[in-house]
Amino acid sequence: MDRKRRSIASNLGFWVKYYLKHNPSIFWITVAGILLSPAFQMLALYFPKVTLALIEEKAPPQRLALVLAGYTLLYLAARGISQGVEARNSWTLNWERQRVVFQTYLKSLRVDYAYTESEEGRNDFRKAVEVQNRGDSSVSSRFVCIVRSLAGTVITFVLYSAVLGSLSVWMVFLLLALAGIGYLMDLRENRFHNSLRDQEAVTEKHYLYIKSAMGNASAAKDIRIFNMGPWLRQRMDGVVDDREKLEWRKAVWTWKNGFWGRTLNLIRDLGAYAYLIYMAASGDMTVSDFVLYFGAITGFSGFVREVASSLASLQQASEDTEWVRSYLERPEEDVTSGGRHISELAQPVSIEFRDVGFSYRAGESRTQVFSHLNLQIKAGEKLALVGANGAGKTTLVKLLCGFYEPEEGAILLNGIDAREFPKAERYAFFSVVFQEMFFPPTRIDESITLRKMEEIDQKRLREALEKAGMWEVLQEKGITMDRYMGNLKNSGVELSGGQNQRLLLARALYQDGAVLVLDEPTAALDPIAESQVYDAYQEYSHDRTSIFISHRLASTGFSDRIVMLEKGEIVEMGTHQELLEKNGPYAQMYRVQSGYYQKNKTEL
Amino acid sequence: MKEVSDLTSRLPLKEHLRNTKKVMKMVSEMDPYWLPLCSLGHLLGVANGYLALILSAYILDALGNGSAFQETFKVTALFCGVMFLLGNATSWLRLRSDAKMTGLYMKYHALTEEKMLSMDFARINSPECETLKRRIQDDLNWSAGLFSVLGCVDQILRSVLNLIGAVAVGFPVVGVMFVSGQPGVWVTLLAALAISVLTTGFATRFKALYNKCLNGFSVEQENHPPFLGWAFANGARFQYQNGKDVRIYGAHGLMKRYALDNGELPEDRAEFRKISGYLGKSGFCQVVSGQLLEGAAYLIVGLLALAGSVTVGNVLRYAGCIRNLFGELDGLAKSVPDLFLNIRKHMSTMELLELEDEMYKGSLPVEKRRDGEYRIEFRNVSFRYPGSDTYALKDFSMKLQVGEKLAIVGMNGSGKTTMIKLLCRLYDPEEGEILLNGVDIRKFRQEEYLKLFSVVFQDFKLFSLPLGENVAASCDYDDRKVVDCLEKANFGERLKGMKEGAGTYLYKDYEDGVEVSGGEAQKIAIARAVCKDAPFVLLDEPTAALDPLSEYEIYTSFDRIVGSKTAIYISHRLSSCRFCERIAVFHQGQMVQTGSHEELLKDKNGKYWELWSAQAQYYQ
Repeated sequence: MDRKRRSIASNLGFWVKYYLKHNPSIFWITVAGILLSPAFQMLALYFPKVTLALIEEKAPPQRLALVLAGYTLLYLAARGISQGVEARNSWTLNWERQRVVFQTYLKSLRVDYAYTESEEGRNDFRKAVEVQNRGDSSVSSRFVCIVRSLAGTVITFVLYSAVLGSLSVWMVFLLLALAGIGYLMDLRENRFHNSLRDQEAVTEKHYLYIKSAMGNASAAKDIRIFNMGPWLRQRMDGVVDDREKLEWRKAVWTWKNGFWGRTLNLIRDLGAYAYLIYMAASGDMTVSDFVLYFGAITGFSGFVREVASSLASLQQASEDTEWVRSYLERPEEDVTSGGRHISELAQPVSIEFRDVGFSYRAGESRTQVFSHLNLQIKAGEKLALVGANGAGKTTLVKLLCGFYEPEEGAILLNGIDAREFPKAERYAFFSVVFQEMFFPPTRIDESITLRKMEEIDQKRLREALEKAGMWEVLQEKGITMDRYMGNLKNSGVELSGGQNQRLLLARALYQDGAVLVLDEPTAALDPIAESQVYDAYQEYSHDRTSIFISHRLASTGFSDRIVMLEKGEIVEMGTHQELLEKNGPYAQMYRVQSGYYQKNKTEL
Repeated sequence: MKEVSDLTSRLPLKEHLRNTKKVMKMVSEMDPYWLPLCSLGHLLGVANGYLALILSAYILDALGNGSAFQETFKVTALFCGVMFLLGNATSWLRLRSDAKMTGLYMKYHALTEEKMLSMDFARINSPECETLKRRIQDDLNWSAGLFSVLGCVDQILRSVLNLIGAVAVGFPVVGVMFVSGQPGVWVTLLAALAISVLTTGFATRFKALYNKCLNGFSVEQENHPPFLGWAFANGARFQYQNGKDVRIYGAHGLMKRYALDNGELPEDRAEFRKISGYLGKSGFCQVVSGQLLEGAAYLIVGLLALAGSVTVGNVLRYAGCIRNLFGELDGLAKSVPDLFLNIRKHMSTMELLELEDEMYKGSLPVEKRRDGEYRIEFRNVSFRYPGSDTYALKDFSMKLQVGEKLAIVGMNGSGKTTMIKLLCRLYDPEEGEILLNGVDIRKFRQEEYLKLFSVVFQDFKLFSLPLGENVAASCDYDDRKVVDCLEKANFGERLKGMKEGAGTYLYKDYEDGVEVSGGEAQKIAIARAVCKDAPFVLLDEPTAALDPLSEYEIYTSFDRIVGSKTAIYISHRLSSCRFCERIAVFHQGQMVQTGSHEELLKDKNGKYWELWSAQAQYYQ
């Protein structure tokens, strides 16, 4: 997809607004920085000239001391401000660049879920974080620094022009022309370096991959058993070798290109010397002015080239800004508007998929999942959804919860189109246990309920944990609610797979949603833990509309009805008994899986 | 072992020098040319700078003396020509040494990972190794790694050469100072030196305070609520799937607190300001001394010139030299501690690289037997994972018969995988021993012993490198053999669809390769095990996400491939192993039952029956 390309001014506006909102101190820091750099340049330019002038006119020593002391103090004052500004600047910018990333993350929780899941959404997120994850050259910092140095350099350039213009206006033009050529050489070099960037990125990618492969603790077993050390080392040597060859090429090229630049400088210096020596020798110029002008001539082209290259990097920064900006400015999903309120619905609720058509879209391509799907779930019914991977089970749940909307048809809750309810209410209407366990490493009560601690009703949480059979476990292990969940350095709580499953149940219980949905919760459990988890869920789902998803059939025993999906279509439906009698695909699958456990049968 | 390294405590100079030597030795082992190139580059660069100074002195004096244009310009042109040549040479040397830095950086920063290849397996996840790795990360967090060190070395080299140059070129001024007998000169010199010593002291102090605060800041504070911004938002680890839970359970507020608000608590902000204040003050004191000395240099030479002891041209020359002298001393006062600090940040890396293996590794060769007559016996083996109090295996004994097919079943945590890990010498038993043909396996040469086993671990790993390399676990492989193994592992159909054949890259992490499904990956892992052609093959429970039927198929087809070799199959699903002649039931680190399926089922009090009923209850 094409990102918008807005003008530099527009993106500058974006950052101005951003910093105004979050950290206005950046502004005076930047202004100070802009004014200070020309001040330094001019002081440095005039310092030797003034000294030599005083010597030339044989001034009294006291005057020399006084003037030099004055200069030094002026310089120091400027330095003091500048150091303070720099220190503040780097800290502030560093935090701000991180904040942008965190806000991007928080934004990802507020936009359409469907977008965050799509290839495009994932890529957008990755890029938005990547351009902010480059330390000081992250785009939010870079933008400020470039603007600052550009403005400072332009002022310096004007001042230098004034100094040289007082000598000869033609000189300014001549030097501008020389600097222009120098800038073209720089451009050429940049282009060359850019042209290698892809190759660099490839070696970088290869390097990081082999490096992480070697250090991957979970591959360590395989590495030892299959003696992979020499293999990975050889690969690493190859990668480093590739990079070194690239660097060698770069060095050779850069030197050759630089040779012309150095030649140009030689010509400039010879010309400047010739002109100035001629002037001085013919008595039109003092020795101190000679020093001043020679300094100005050699410095001048540097500033011209800096202005030009700053402009180029501003363009690049503006392009990188697009990633951040378009993510942060993306409209949030509308969770509040809707014609009705979900509290109107009588519970338990009935669910109907009416003529639902749906496909995933990525750019031009569409992957059809459902067309004309019809399914009715009665109020309080326990439905088991079975089928192989890719049958559409998980998509069905996503549609039900409102992460995606059907392209055709509708999903009805008690006969009312689910789209008529505000999204936020619709989300909270469900208690869903997803396949990917999510336990943020926060306080344990927060991690279970996903609420801030002061919003948690501890009594209700305790009840939920008791029902899920986890209260005692936590008590026994001496885990209190103020401990932190997993992976943190000291007191992180780590529990087994089955226990985590039951914490998820506690989360669902705490939410007390009207509909319970389980998306293959038991994949990682051993049989005994598995049956315990099912027992717990079974009890909770009592007169609540529930959907159990599994590619194993263990859950089907206690369901009221079983729906078997195949490639987005319902191929069979009925009670366990009915389906067995029908002797269709379900019965087949069941027999295969259960074969071993039937008495008197040890072979298929 | 220290949890975190303290980078602010004082260290004797000797220690610093030793550390520096250690790192630099490593650098010169990796690339012996970097340092010489870098030094030579600076030598020429510095020489060039002083030529310019001498030239300007010459011109000014020539102008002062009223020399003719032509003569002055001739000398000037000559100088410019020499400087041009020197400049080209310098540029070349700089580019070369900079280019080498990249290679050095890459090699150096892969050393820790490379160490993981050969380290005792038990050590990789050991607390000390984890601590070291975390320290390495913390230590290098705010620096540019080896670049910081090389950058400092580079700077110090230049400073030292520049100092030498300043002394060599500016040396005559000392004589002039003594001869001139001007009191103002000496007063200026002493005053400037005194103030600059003072401010440098302040600078060091503020810098130390800054480092201390910074260190305290990066170490997670006990009472500071955790801040998880990067944990959630890191592009590589970002889990969009969690967005589902966040929306369903309304976790936005919680996420905002941990991913943003906890990062900018008012205390933190105050701390930020304090830290940046120290940095600013230290920076200021640093420049004060430099600036002061530069002013003093001009004043001294100016005074001498006014007294007629120095020509106008030499004012620039000497002032330049004095400025360089002080400037570089000042620079060294900063860059040497910087180097030491940066070197210190690498000591945790050095510590990791110097970790020595603890496992005893014998030197007995393993007899190569064509008949595969290798007998394995576990004799009263007990084992606890490092840092754990519970026994993963307790007084465990078992014999493996040659050519047998053994199934090991049991619940999670019953010791099934542990037994395999011990057998493969990933760990050594605490008590008891494991014998190969009657000899303790520790006595064999490790690499020869490991040749006996082919294992498909539960969490096997394939790398995003060519398929053939993955199967052969080597850069060089015999294409025919690899294809043969893949065909045996039922991967033949898919292989035919791959244009590059065995040269096809897997996944997209390295090259833009092909994605393979979990089941296909499993087949490749099996082909890898087959390709190794070891007398023992072990199949640890394949990924749990497989449905029972597929798992059973994998086991049986694997059994067909391995033929008459000794094979061990592990699963918590009893159904998968029913083809095995012998089933061993593990429970709490011991083998509690063994026998065929029918025999085991007869014992209604046995663990096997319990497991079996739990799995069967939904199928009654």
